[in-house]
Amino acid sequence: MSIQHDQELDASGLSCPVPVLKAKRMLDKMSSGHVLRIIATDPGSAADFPALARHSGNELLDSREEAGKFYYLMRKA
Amino acid sequence: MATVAAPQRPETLRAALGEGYGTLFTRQWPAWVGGVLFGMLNVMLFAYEKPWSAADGVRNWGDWLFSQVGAANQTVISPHLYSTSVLNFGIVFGALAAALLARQFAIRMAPPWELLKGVLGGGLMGLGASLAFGCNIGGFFSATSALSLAGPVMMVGLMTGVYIGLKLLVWEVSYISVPAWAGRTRAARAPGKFSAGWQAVQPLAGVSVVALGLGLAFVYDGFEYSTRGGFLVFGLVIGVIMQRTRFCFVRAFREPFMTGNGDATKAVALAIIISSIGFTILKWTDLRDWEVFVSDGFWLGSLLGGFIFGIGMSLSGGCATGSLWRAGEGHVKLWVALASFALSASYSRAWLTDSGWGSRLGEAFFLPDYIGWKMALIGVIALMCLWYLAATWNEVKRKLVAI
Repeated sequence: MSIQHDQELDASGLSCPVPVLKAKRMLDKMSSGHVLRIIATDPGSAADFPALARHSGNELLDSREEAGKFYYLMRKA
Repeated sequence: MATVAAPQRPETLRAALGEGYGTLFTRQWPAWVGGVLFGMLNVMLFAYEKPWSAADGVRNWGDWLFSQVGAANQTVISPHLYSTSVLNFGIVFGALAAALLARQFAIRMAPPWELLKGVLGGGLMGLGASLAFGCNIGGFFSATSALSLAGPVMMVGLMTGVYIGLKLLVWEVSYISVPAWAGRTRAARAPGKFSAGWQAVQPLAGVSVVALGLGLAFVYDGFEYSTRGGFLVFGLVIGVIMQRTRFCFVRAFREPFMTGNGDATKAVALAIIISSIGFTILKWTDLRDWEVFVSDGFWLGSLLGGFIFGIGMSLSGGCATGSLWRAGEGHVKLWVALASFALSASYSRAWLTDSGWGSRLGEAFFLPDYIGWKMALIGVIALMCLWYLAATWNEVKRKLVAI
């Protein structure tokens, strides 16, 4: 099952905490129900995005790792 | 809700070993495991020779570099013989080994803009560590455990600095539009056959790094530098634990303000509670000198140094030890930050000494001299419990979150 996303943030090469801050900023501007796809290379992001989801109330739909890259799907609450 | 599966007995020895390997090197260890282990390791280091520190080892690299180009006017101990430098090398190699064993090692290039932040952050950390007589390890973690009031004062500085640093990063993300060439990393090669093969041999390379490190410790021993060999082994162990727990002091200070997650904060508080008990036993029984890690930084040096260090580690994304283990994991930004840290620490320390400002940063404040051993230890533990509780309270209420 693949979920369609409305916007994408490529945070490859960026290290903690910049990917989270950028994602937060984009989510703030998106309208409710829209989905943001985040691509990151920092392994620290695996703990950050669930934490961001818990804090912001936006839902983390999916997180996975493929060939050294991390992919996250978040839906704006 | 997912149901909890009953533990299954593995069918074969191979499966059983594989499961153990998965627990150690596929899944990340919880932060509190790191807290407990680092608390105990710091006591062991103190009993072995001296408490854990990191900044003076990084500064030694800067001193050595300056002396190599003829810019230093005193003799510098070579990095392979300076004990904290050896410990730091151990951390880099331990983290490298752990990352390889977990198949997580990769050279992670960062965009030029991020590298610039690494240089800036490293430079500020070097200056801050010189003012506070140590980084967050020597000036805060070990100093607080050693019952020096300079430790808690640096904690206040670090907290304020990290808060300002986080605000700076939020401001950067919101208002600075980085030109495309500076904000993007060159596209990585598509994963091909080589990359798949590399994934398979990584654990083998990890084992080789560990073997090489341990072998090197015996070489030190063979040359009558056994203590240095011991520091190398301590470093390897610390590096492995740091990589597996992704232990991060920046996170401990920042996360309550950012996502509200308190895991790292609680881990550091736990580490200090454990090490302060061990340190107090070593000092109170006169097994170790009272003045160890009670620096002359109370209060101006520790406060100002902590503040500057806090901003620096926010920008670079890792404190001294955090930079060391991430450097071992392959993050280029942290290599740059470490180089800048080394040069800045060496330069600012020399400047503080030459200008005389170094002796005006404060005085030593050993808590037991003023309130007795019992109250000093209780006070430190109470402060850490308070920090732990505040982080837990904030996880629920999220009152401190400021992004």
